[in-house]
Amino acid sequence: MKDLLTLEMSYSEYHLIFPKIVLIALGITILMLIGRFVLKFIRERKGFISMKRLLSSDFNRLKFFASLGLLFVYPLLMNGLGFVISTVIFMIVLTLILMGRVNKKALMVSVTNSLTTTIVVWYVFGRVFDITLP
Amino acid sequence: MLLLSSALLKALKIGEEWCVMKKILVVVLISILALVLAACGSSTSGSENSGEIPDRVRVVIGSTSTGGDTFQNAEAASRYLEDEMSTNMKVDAIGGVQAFDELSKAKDDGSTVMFFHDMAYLGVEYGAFNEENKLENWEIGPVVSINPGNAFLTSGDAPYDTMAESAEWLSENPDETVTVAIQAGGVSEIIFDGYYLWAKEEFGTEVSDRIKVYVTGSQEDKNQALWDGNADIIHGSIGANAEFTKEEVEDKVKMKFLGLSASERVEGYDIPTFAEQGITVNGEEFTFDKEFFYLMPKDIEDSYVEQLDQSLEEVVSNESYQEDLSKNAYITNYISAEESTDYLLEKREEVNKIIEQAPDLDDISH
Amino acid sequence: MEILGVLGPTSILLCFLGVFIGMIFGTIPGMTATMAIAIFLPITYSLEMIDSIGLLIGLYVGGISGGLVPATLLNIPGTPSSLCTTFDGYPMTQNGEGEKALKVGITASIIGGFFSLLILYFCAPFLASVAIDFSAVDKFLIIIFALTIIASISQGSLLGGMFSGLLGIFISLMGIFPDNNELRLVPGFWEEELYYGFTLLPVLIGLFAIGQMLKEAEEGMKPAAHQDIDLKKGKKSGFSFGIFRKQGVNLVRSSVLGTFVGMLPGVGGSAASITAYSQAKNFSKQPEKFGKGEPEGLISSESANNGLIGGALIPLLSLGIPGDSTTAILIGAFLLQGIEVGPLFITSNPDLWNGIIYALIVANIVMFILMFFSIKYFAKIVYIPKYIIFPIIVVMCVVGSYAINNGVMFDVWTLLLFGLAGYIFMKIGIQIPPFLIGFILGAQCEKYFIDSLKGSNGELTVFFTDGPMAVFLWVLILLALGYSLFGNKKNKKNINQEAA
Repeated sequence: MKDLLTLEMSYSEYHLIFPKIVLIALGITILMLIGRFVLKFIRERKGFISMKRLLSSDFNRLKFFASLGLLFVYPLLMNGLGFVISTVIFMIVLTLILMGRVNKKALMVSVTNSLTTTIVVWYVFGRVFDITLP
Repeated sequence: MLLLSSALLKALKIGEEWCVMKKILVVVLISILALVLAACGSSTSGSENSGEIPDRVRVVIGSTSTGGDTFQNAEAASRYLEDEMSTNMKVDAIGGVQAFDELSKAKDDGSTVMFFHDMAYLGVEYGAFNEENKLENWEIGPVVSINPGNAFLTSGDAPYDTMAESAEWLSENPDETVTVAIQAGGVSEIIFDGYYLWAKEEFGTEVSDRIKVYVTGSQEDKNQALWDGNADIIHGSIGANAEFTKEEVEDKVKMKFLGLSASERVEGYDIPTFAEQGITVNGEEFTFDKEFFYLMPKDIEDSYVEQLDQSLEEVVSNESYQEDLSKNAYITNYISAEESTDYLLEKREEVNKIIEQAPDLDDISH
Repeated sequence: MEILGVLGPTSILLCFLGVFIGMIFGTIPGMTATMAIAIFLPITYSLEMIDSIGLLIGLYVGGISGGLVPATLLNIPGTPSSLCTTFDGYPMTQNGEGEKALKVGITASIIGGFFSLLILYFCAPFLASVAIDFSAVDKFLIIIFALTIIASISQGSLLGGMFSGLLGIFISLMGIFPDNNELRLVPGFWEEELYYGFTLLPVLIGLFAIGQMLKEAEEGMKPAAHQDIDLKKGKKSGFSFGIFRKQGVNLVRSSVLGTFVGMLPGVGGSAASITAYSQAKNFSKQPEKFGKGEPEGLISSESANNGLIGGALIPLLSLGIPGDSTTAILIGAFLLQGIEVGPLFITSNPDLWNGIIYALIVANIVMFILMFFSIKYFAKIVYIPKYIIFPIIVVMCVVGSYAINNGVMFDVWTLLLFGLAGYIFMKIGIQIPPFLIGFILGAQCEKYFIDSLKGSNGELTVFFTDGPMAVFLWVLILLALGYSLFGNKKNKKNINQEAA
């Protein structure tokens, strides 16, 4: 009994003890979850993940994938072009994507939004507060 | 500053003011023009003569704490250096691994430099940092200052008053053990190793086998370990622990110093050094000064190093800088960039002799 | 006027300024009180000690309180400690009660603030000495106690909530274990970047802000229903102090819990509002309304997270031990001035001690006035079209993530990665709040688990035999678990009966 309630403690293994416990607990919950879905499936003949639940009825491919892509391009841009220029570009494009139209008014809104935010952030945080900007 | 902040608030509220959009756009465009012009103006003056100091220098440090001795020493040095070098210096506490990472990616113009202490190479030797971060792969800058307050402490009512006495006490009381709280991979481990090796040499394994370690992280954790009774001796420093050693402190949290690792005593404190207590390793007095120095990218321009070196020499002789350091019991210790490389490599050599004989933490921890 | 005697006009002005700037930092998703204090730390060097205290305390109070705004209006916790504020604050906004929610939150904040101030002033030395009596085992059990909230906030499926929480803990363990500097659970190609694991702030705002943006993008960025509700035409904000009439017990309990958890060194501030929220729900007469826009929940979360300010200052000022990451930076401010913070701080610096107390009073009052009267404007953020506000939020989140560790690009990638993860979580039914709670508490849970075992040579029985405190905590944990499980079932029954 005493052995069961004692964990082997060795300095170089400290980092593995707790993750093992969490992994075991995670494994048990996953098994229980799977078990429940199987039961549900047998009883109700209904799949766990229906495509309907995955995608909302009016899935907007363009806005979603464009903004997702843009998000991941932004840090790359910053590495190359620095914070100010890439943020201006990023915000103009993102605003346009989210508005979903390109006309004079949309352009104006996006340009204003982008320039104001960038300047304020760059000046207030970068210069006045001396935060290290990307 | 108030004005700026309200501008920010306005920017947030922009959405409700559709009609003024155009006006704002014009204003913004004008200010952008002005800023671009201003930026061009300053940047051209900087880039014309190469070898100049960049406008902004980022000093990354090997600790994530802004309350620790690394930050305080880096901050004080930078505050004086930026005037001397006519630039802006910003100390960023990003931690050891990240700092090495940033330094390896940094440009060679000196816009990013690193400030750290002996753990920079101790960490490599103990395996806390990657092999590729060894001293040889960086340009070693000048050594700046020392924290002479590196110490070991115990609780106020412990039956021994110095590190040496603790080992004697162990040999007189064969049923007792002493557990020492340290942080792995750093300055506290090397000092512990020195103590351990001395105890083994002096009293044999029957004493050293009863010296255990409690490996933990921050100073708060070490203090707590002492109060919880999980450790009998903890690593600490004058700056962090002196307050707990004063007379009026409650017995429950009271501590006392057992010894300093530095080569000389600290003024104003009656704490014997390890050397005074007769602690030796391989027949030599055991001392360890925790020194702070700069590391720079390997291919940094010589003119930059030279300028940093000269400026630092000025700073170190500045009395008000010395005063700032002494507020927290730090002292200046300038070693020029030229000599520092050999100096630190030699120090590492010495340290390695200890590490080779040092006990495996696995064997002496609980 | 004793206050004026100790503080002086400069300190009061700086305190005012501090609250104001702190509020801005708290309000902007991605910027935190800790960051604001860190930024101003070098500046305080050139100030008198008492003036810099005014400034820093102002930043602290303003920053923590400002977190309420984005949590309530945009469903983005501005600081980790306002996580639980989103649970009821945002539903209130969706019901068109954004302004009311903010006012309730601020009132709860100031009450929590003053409550903890009283505790700090009268009991600091005594409580600090109690706080260090808490062993690793006790702290471990307190974290477990905070984790029981997962059982009570799991929507629909307890198993799903547990899975989400465990996943959060698992991900929080990635990186090195600080004791022995050994990496674990990290994919080979990220060893350098994930050395210290994922940073909390980018994970938090990524899951909430970026995840939400992606979801909105998928739905085409249509204006939300509550954006059409016109405040002026419809009912008034609906706020009156009467809301608080029946909340006395809740306020006291939440403030005390906030102060108490904040006081324990090493147990983070986020745990304070989490514990308070879950206890408010367990004790409430109408737990089923929690999470749907119940002021009671909002009150508990906000009074607790302002309570933690006074709490975190207790061990700092009476022992020199920081209670959380923000107070750890405050120590830096004292040290810069050459003032040692330790067990004798209060007796040897009575002026500073009084200064801190007065600065807290001033900061809380200033915070209340500033917030209460600017809420009208803040509340309008809700009406800004999404295609304008989201790009701003994204940029602020990126800047904040980059700045949180003083300039690490990987934190920006973390933000984006968890943004995508947040979107996917919403789709496949992993619950974000339990996940985050697991993530926030995971590393601490491990630390105290290992610390307990280090002390006991690996014997697991130590968790039951450590002392009366441990037993008491076990009882609390079981009660909380029992209550939330039983309560859940009862709710489901009620709902089922109503449906039938």
